Amino acid sequence: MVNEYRLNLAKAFNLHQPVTADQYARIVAAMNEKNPRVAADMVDMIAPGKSVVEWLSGYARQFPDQPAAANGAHLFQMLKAHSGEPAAVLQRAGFDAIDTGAGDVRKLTGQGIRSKDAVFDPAPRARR
Amino acid sequence: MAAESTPPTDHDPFALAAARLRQSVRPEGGRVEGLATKLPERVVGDAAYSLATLPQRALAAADRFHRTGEYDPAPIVEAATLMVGAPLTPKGALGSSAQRLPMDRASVEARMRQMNMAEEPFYRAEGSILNRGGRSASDRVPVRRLFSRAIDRPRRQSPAKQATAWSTSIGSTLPRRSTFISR
Repeated sequence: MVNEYRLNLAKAFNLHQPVTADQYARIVAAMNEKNPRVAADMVDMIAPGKSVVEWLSGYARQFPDQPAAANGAHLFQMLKAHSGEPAAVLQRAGFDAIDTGAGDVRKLTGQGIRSKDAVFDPAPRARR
Repeated sequence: MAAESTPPTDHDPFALAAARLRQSVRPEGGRVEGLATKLPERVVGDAAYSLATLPQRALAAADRFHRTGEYDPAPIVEAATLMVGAPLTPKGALGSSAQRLPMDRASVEARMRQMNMAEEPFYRAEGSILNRGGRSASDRVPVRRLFSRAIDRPRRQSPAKQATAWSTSIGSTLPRRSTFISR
């Protein structure tokens, strides 16, 4: 018997889709907490000469849907090169899953995983 | 000299113990029933009796309405409350069915969409590409958090079996040895 699951992918980091400015800014801010030098390099990579994380945050607020990277896989490789725990950086940036786009999904937290036989009660647990 | 007789004791402990025992068995004024026996005898008994006689009372009320024109709605209201539940009935108790969510397929899928759940099914993926290699041990993902959309994803194999599988798949795409010889 194979168990079937439904996943909440609303906060998934997609490796095969372009990374928006909002997502990029969140990841840079998360990287800035542990490694400011790499965060500044990441800003310089998409906006040469800026190197200021706050500037990128302001830009992302103005143009949140503007593409900042060709796809998530490139950015993930960059995180892997500069961080021992790239998944932790993504988790601090507000993502709770990594979607490869090839059918595999890695959940970073235990949230948003339900069996197909679940009741799917949207009410908070305290109100049930 | 005659031996002095011992005076009667004022506080005989045996007499006091006998009095306590007598009082507990047959108290003055008779025994009074306590809460521990009153509750199951009366409340639970009444509830069971009213539940058992509910159909009979409902039929009697209908019969009375048919004969005299007087209608007593109490049994019907009681039966309806039992079916759909009273407003303060706790979940899981008898008569709490009003709080249950509809479990037909359409309702469940509607709630699933409301919770932003992906519609395509996922399965556990032990052999996911996300779980192979990595720079550190922390990159390896617990299997319980790996999911795949493909149900027929092969399970992780031993290195020897994996090497055999790869050589087989690569060999099938290479030209045959006889082709090289003929050239």
